[in-house]
Amino acid sequence: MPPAAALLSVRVRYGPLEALHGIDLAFPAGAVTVLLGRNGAGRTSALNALAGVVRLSGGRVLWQGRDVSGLSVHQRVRRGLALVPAERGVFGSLTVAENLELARSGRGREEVLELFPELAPLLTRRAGELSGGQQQLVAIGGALAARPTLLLLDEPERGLAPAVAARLHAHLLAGAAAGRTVVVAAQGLPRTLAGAAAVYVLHRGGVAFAGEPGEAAALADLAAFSDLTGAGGSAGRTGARAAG
Amino acid sequence: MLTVLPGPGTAPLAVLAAAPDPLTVDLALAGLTVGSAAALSGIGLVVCHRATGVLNIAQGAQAMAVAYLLRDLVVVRHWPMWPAVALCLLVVAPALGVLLDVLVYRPLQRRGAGPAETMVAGLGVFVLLIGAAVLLWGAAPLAGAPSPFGGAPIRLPGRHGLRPDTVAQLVAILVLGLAVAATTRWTGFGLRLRAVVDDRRLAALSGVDADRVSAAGWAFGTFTAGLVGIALAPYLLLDPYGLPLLVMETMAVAVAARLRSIPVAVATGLGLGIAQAELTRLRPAGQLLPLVEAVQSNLFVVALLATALLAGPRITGEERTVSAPLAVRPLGVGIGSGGRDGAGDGGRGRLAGTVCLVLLLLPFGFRGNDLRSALLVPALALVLLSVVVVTGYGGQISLGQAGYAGLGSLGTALLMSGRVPGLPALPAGPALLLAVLATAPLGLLTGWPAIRRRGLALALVTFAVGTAMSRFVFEQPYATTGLLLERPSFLSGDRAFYLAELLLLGAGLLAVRALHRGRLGRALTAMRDHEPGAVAAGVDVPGLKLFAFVVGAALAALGGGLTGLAGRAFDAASFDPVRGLLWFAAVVVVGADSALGAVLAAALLIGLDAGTVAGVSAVAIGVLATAIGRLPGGLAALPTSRRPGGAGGPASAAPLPPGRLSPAGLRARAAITARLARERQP
Repeated sequence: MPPAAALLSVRVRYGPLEALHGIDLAFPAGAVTVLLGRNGAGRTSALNALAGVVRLSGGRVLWQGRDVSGLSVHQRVRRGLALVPAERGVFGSLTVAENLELARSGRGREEVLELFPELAPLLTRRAGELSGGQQQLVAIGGALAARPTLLLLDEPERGLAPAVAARLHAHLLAGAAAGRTVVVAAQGLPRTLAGAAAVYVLHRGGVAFAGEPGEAAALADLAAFSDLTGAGGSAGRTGARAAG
Repeated sequence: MLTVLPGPGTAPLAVLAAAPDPLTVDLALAGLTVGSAAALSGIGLVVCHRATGVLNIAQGAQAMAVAYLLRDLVVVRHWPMWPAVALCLLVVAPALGVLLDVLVYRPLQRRGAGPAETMVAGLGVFVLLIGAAVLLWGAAPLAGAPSPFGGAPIRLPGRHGLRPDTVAQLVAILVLGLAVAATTRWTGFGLRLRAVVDDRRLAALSGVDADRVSAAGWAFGTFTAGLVGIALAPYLLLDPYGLPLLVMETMAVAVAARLRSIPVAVATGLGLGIAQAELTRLRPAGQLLPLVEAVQSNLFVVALLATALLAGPRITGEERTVSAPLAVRPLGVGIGSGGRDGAGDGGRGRLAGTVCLVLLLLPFGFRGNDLRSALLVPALALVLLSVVVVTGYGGQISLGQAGYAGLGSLGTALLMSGRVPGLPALPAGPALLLAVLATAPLGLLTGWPAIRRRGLALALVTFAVGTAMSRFVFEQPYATTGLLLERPSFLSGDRAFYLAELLLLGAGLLAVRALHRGRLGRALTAMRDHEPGAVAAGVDVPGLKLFAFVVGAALAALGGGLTGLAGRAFDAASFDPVRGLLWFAAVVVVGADSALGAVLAAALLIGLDAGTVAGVSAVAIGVLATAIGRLPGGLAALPTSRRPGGAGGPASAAPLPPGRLSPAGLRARAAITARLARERQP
């Protein structure tokens, strides 16, 4: 699978802190890639670097066969990128319908309502009045309505019922099969995303592991590495500390 | 006892209430002229704020610039009217707005600057445009601003007349109001606009070019500013200070609308205009008359004060940040800003101190007019020092310090003339001292509102208080006539008086230096940098705010009194609120927390104007203030902010200067070092 997008020795810094220390990540085309890692590992920074939300202090972002490091966020979005941030993903003062419409004139609105029928009765409500989970659905729906070719989601399951999250994962996998490139950041690898093509584990601003989902699951079981993904139980973590 | 003087064809007050008589209608129609201009100004401010999140504080200056340009084209260059109007309104004004957005406001937006810094940049635009107008067209008032519709009034039934340009303004309000409402509600651009206002970052993620939306907002804001300028100019003499201030007063309209609602802004503007016209009928007998007249001619100032006070701590309800209002550099980087003991800083402080001292001693070699201009430097330095205390140290925005300076000057003059009941005419020294002591508690006028307000809300209140002082105190007949202001005989020579001023300035600098050290200095810094944090640390923030404003008022009064004594007269124009804006911007660009910087700023302001042409100093300050987006912390911070560091421009961390540690701190550091050394060993 050729990569659709890639980060090459990307560095991101926030003031005195460097969040990404020159990482290389490749995202295969027409597949789902999962970024794992604990809080502060750099998952969100990697997604933001790909979307152009943060300025790079070093390195390049490749997408659609060219260097897009110089493009601003809205220019990348107009070329088919969509990012669902982990927090504050909806316009609170706009209605749900307007939120969906804003994403490139809302061509995919019907699809979104098919996937999330929960949104249909909420269309005229202001997004700010909805519950956290409903807002998350609106945020994801807005991104899907734009029919992006490169879809980035930062912890999309947050606040969603397990059944809805599973439905979303199935939709992401189906979209990938149809040619869309999807990148999901998560704390741990969800079972329903086992069909993903690639998994990266980030740790302290670097890439600690790259491989397939099966390998990643095995990695999570190893006590010594459970510290990387945060997937292990408390016993595992104590073991890791004792080993270190 | 209120009575209504019978004017031509009027009825007594009782009849007035029963049925509208012809004069009432005529006055209402006349009031519509100013009212509709104010309503237009309100529409511009509200739309610009909605699209950009910034209150266009320079709107008055933009209006003035466009009005001057139109007069220049039509009267001086003899262009035909309509092409000139079209060029001014459709080309120059929007282009100016976009230019301001690109050069001034976008860098601030990128840096995530707070409302206070954005306001300083706006002030920079304000003084820059005024300075440019003074340079281009001179400070003298010009008559004959062209009126596009001019001509005879339109006859209405019942023998009422209505000016054609008023009709045009009302049509413009209707068209603009409906167009804005329709655009925001039903078009894609309106949706994108609302998205940008809601969350700029998320709007970019939705593919919205937020910069373009802002540029459109600025273009519209400047376009309406130009409209207001062209509408108002025919009714006044055009001068660089009057029109901007008049338009700034109409900010009351936008504040009443909470910077959101266009219908409220239009209604308030028209209502105030009509009320102002109708108030001319009120003619109370005796001493109330001057007051009523002052209220009538300054109704917009009263309204600005009232709306700014009533609007409460959050004007728009959007300001959620608790960050420091100004990007003041970390401790130890101001130009010798008093009591800093950083290793490299001491040297720079001494250098700046020497430069200041040389600058202040130079005038002893001057004579004649040069020396007389130099007399104003220490006096102005004291006024600027008051801004340093209130804004630089305390973090409270105060645009009203010119008012306190004026009170000091006026108080000295009144006391010396024996015009204060119960007191004989005092000699200069005691009069000055008493005036300072009497003005200091008046600092509560701005200190009290500051307890609950920050940023934009506080700026508006302090500006309104300063403007109200200027209009209701300094410009009243009792203040402008028959005042005696004379120096004591042993200081009648300019050189001797200058020496006395220097001594007072030195005392002021020492007092300010004492403010910035020890427990009090730390409490002030904590309050400036993070108010909730200071509260949590046990600082009495409300008391400290009042204290800062009282000290600021005393310093400003001292400076103002000296200004009056230097010129041997009380001059209300020296304490114009617009001058206060210029002074505030000057202090911020030089470095708000630098006491010596205030002295340098005073020398710069007086020296530039005396050495070249009036207006150059305003242009210089304006240029620096508009660059505040690229110059956080002002000139005083320049040596450190340009220090080469890691990658990443202004966000990169400048290493903190080594501070002097307390004994407990030294013990803690030794313990940490020892522990780190232990951990490094295998």
